[in-house]
Amino acid sequence: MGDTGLTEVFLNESKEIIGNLENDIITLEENRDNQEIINRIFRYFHTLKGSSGIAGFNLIYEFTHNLESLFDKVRSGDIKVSKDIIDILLDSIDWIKGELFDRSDIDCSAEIKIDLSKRIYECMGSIPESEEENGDFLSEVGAYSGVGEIERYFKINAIFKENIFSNGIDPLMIIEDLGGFGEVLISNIDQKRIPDFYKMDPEKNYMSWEIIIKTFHDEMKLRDVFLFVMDDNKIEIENVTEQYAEVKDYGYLTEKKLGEILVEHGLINDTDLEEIVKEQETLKIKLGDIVVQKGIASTKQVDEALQEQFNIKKKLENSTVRVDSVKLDNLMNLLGEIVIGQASLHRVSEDLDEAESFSLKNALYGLDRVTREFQEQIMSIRMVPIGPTFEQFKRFVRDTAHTLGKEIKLKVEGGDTELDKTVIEKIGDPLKHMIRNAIGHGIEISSERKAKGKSSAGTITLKAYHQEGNVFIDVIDDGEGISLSGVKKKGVALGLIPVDENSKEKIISLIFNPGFSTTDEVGSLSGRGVGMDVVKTNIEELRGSVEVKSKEGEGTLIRIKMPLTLAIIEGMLVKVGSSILIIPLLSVIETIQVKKNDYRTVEGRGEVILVRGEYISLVRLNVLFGLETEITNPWEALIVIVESDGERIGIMIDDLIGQQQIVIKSIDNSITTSRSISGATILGDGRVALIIDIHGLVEEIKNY
Amino acid sequence: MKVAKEMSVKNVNNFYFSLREEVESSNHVVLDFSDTVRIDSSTAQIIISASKKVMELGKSIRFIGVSSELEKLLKLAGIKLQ
Repeated sequence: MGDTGLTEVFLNESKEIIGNLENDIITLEENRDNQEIINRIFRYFHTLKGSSGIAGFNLIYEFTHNLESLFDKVRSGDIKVSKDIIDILLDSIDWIKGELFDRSDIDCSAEIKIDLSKRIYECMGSIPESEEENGDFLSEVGAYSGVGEIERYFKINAIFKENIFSNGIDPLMIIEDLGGFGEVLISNIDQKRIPDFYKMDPEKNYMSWEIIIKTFHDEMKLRDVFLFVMDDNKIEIENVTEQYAEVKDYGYLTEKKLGEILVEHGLINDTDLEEIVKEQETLKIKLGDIVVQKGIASTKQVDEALQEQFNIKKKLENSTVRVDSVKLDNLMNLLGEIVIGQASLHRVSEDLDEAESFSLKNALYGLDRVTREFQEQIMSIRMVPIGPTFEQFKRFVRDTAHTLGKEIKLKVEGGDTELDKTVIEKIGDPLKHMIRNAIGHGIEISSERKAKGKSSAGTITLKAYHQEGNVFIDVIDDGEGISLSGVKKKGVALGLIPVDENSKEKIISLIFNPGFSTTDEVGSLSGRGVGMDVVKTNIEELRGSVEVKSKEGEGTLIRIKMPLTLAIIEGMLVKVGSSILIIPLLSVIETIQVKKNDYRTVEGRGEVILVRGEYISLVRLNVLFGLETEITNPWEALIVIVESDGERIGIMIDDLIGQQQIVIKSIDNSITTSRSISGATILGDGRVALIIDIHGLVEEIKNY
Repeated sequence: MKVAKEMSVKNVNNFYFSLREEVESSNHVVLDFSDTVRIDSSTAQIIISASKKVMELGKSIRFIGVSSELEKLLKLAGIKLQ
């Protein structure tokens, strides 16, 4: 196996390719004739094969070689995409994943591979190649030229003499031989040199090529192909690696014009292009229209070229640099230190005389602006689209639905919506729980759906969008909805609600109670009562909230609301005794002073205050956190009204210091396990301030 | 029009003149490659030129029975399947 660095690069790349493959295979199942997806899958297998060979994963190389062959036949139309092929592909992906990332089932791995290879060969209608025949993969992928050596790109111009056929040489065969040294990416024939059909002499050669080849071999090797024609014909070989440097599967690092693509497709040559461009400048009409009008290409061919141009542009836009996320976290932490340092300087400026203080504050003002911009840039790097997270569930939905004999489609909307990478990393499990519930409890089997007048296939929709500085993720299913009466019955039986409870929200919120399940039967999928409570806890840990809306017979919507980022928040600094605490600004509704008459102690609820005609619970932070303070009467203190999950509470503080951006530092469980604290931050004077978790605080109060 | 199994400069003249007749007489030229395993440059250039000609004449040309191996060769030769 190759060196660790190379292996790591290969494994990272493979993870991404495998994810893309899974999505494309699932999509292909529903769009079996989609040539674009077929070609993409072929390319993924091809890349996986090449990379595995270079990284020394011989088994993977050998196996993906077979998959590539199978897909080559699909690509050429020899084999039609069928359910069998989809199953083989997905099972193969599972085997590859197991081989690369999870070696726990190593005993069965060889057996599975043999079985899969057999299925692949059966599909191809061929017998397996012998090991010897497969053995030359290293030279094929250029491993002998040095592990990790980059691919080279050569542009070859070959103009052959007219009498070349009489020497028994076929230029096409030479070009074909070139293909043996790598992949011919572009093969352009100079059609201008081919005379009018009625004027040509069939025994004379008019063919000349411009070829771009991707290869691991050096120029000398390519020159050898032209050994017998080099002297009498015009053969030019140019190394164009820099120009064509490949960016993984994203195509080539150059944006292309429509004309260039048409040349690549062999529909026009360079001279044609020049003429058409001149015509375009004069006529002021689109190049594609001229090409169609002149009968050089059909509308379909131009449309295909335009689509390719669009795809290249989009992929170039998506070009990324792979950065270890730890480095990103370090950068964020360092920025946090800078913010803290600035706060210290602000504090120092307060102690200086007026002139010096003014100068320092002036300098700090500029620095603040740059730091804020810097912070926004880092934040934007941390933001990643949720699309790939959504897409990964396609396979899960397909397999789970098949297991249960259900027909379910997964629809994804708003995949471009960006979230902080930490949120993305942690949202996967809760989403899976919700999707699993939708498959198990929500969507009905086809016959049942048809009987209800619904389409036979159920749909689960994952939708993401930004709204009011938050990110919303909706999990929607068009299944049978939540039975309110069923939930109520169970809730009453468990003593969670009184018999006369009629609030729809309260009844539905019971599904978030630990161990709550209306299903008596425990299955592999759901029914253990573990799930929605975990979802709620996980989301709340991300400082988010969950809301459920459901209509019996029509479906369910679970809405997750989360902050855009977990690293920095806008916080309100408040003083209690000599301590400073932070309240997340997003939860703050208002800050008020209450009159003595508006303060009460109510049996069963504790201290409450009257705010706009409504009594809300009062929380004394000094009591909660054991802080000493001189202000003990609520009417002498300030009250910050906060809201969580529609529930409002008043937090009693001594004073309001101000608001500022807060860099969140996580705190160890050994310091506190209180759910009311979500983290801490370091203030300008070096003091540590605790950040209050409003969700946790409300929950803790309920449990008092 | 059926194309021979193995196309080379040896039988290209026959192919050329048959194709000329086809281009002149038919509005929809169809080249049947069902038996063809290989073509050479001389055949490829005739097909390219014929394709241009039928377009000029407002006619059409179509290739049928192309195996995947032959398709690769046609692509290298700059012939795009319609």
